[in-house]
Amino acid sequence: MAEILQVEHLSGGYSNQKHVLHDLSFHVKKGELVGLVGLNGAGKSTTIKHILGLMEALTGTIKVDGLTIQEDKTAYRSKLAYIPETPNLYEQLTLREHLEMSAMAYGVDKAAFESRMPQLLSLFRMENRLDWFPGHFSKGMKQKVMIMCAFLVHPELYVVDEPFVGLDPIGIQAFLDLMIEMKQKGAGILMSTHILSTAEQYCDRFILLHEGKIAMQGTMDELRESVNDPQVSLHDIYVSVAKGEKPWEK
Amino acid sequence: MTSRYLRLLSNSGFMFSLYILIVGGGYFYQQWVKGLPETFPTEWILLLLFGFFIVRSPVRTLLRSADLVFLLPLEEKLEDYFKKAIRYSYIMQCIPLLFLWAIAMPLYLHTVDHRIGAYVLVLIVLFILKAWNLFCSWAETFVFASFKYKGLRGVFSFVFIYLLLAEAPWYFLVILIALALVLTLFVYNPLQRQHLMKWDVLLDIEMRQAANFDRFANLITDVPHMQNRIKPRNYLKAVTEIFAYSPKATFKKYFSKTFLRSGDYFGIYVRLLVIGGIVIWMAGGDLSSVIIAVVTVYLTAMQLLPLWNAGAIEGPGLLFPIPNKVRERNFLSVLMLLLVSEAIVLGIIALVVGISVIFALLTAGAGIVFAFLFTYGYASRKIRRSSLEL
Repeated sequence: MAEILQVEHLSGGYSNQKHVLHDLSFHVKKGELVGLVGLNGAGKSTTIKHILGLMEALTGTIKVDGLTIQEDKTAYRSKLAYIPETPNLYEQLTLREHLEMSAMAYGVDKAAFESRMPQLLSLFRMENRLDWFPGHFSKGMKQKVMIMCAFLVHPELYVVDEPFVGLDPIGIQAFLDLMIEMKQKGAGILMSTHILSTAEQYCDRFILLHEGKIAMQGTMDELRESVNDPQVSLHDIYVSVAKGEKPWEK
Repeated sequence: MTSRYLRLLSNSGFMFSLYILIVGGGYFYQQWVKGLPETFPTEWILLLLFGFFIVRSPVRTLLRSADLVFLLPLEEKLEDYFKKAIRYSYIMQCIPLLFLWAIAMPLYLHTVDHRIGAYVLVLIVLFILKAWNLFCSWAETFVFASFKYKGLRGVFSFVFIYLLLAEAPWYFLVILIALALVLTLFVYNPLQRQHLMKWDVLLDIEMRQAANFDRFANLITDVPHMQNRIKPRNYLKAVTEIFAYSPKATFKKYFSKTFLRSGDYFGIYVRLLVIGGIVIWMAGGDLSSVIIAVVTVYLTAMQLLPLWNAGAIEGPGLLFPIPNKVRERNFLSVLMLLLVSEAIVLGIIALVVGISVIFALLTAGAGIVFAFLFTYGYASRKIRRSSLEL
């Protein structure tokens, strides 16, 4: 299947002297959910910022559906939706207005917007809060707003940064179901998370980041094969990588 | 931070202009008072002014949000601290009261009672009433639904001040003081004993106070951390729905809603419009209306320019697949629409206050032409320079 996100030899950071990311190469195919796993400070969020085009690559290229952001910023951005770790909302807009604004910005036609909105609202149990302002939302509710905005616009690539923290169980389940649904419709998803048991269960492939480098990547079977342990869990591999051991050399 | 802004305030021309205003205003005020008849409703005016300063009694605790975590275990040991906070608030709030009292002195002596002793007594009673209000206001912070207690205290204070100013017979005051005692013992004091301290309420009050100061300091300098409260203004929501549902109008909706609800843009707009209207009415000239309209539109436009940066730093809109050019055009359309509406309203005001039809049309027309030149001449270049390239 075609690749929706291609990252080739990406090095990046805040200054040329001090790179945070070192020569990362990975991809996300259409219809694939890829987990981005690493300790705090491993470079997950920086990687995501580069993909979103909030930071420039120092070397290497990032392509979404074959297009770099330099070639066409608007087309590049219209192919991806981002769910940040910390909800980022406009204080002066209500939930309904956030949804409407996202739909308008991504060119979702009005009929589609009006049919998708009620479904998402009921999935996340937010029907009664349409005219509320974010100031009255808890962290989990704000997170739900971000998730709904992203799933409303049906982009080809989802970039998700640690979505589970603060979500209630209904929210988590709705979010996972939506990811599966979008995958089946051909969208690619890159998800950074610390909830490894969920990641192991839902992700097709994994990228283990450690100190700005890719320590390992592949499907669960490939990871197990490279550490020569058919029973090992993602958690154990991750802890071993995080401790600086090189489990694939054992 | 606060001290830095205070220093800025005292160094800027602000203090000097305030001084000029007091000296100059004082002279005209004296003249004005001398010409007032005995029937002038001084009592009612003073009642409103004193009442406002007496009833509005927020306790400044200087709490920070992190205190809700780190100081929570020390709540009982903080009793002395909060007593000091109440005392501090009392002194800080008595100062404006004293100023108000002093400013109103000629007015009172001329139209109410010429004995200075009577007016000094008013001040003493006001200070006592202020202390009572502050005590009750502290008690109110122990409950979330404090509205009825505030209302009770407000009504009581207003009645008290009225009877004081109207020089009601002494037994009225005795009755009121007895009533105050009853209220204190059986309504307000029990709040403190029956309820737990509501740190959230205290923090909210503190943040509002700090925000008020920031807004004041923001008049003369830029206060970057200023937080604006959102005012939903739902009665105006329909106005923002005039923009079609289309990607090209995304930021028209955004800017129009931001204008209505945050950063007090709407308040400034209305205030300038009202002031412009009043000045046109008072000047009453044909040519002056045209000039005033242009000046008003210019002042409004300058105040609205920062709207462009609202949401440019954060918010999901940063990643929207909408070219910067479209955002800019959206912003300029909203700005243009606001300025043109203002010019038209000013033209209508000119017509209503008796300016000839030709000049009323000219007033609106000049405002519209100026709005166009400002928007597409100055503003478009200005925002392009300041826009963040993402």
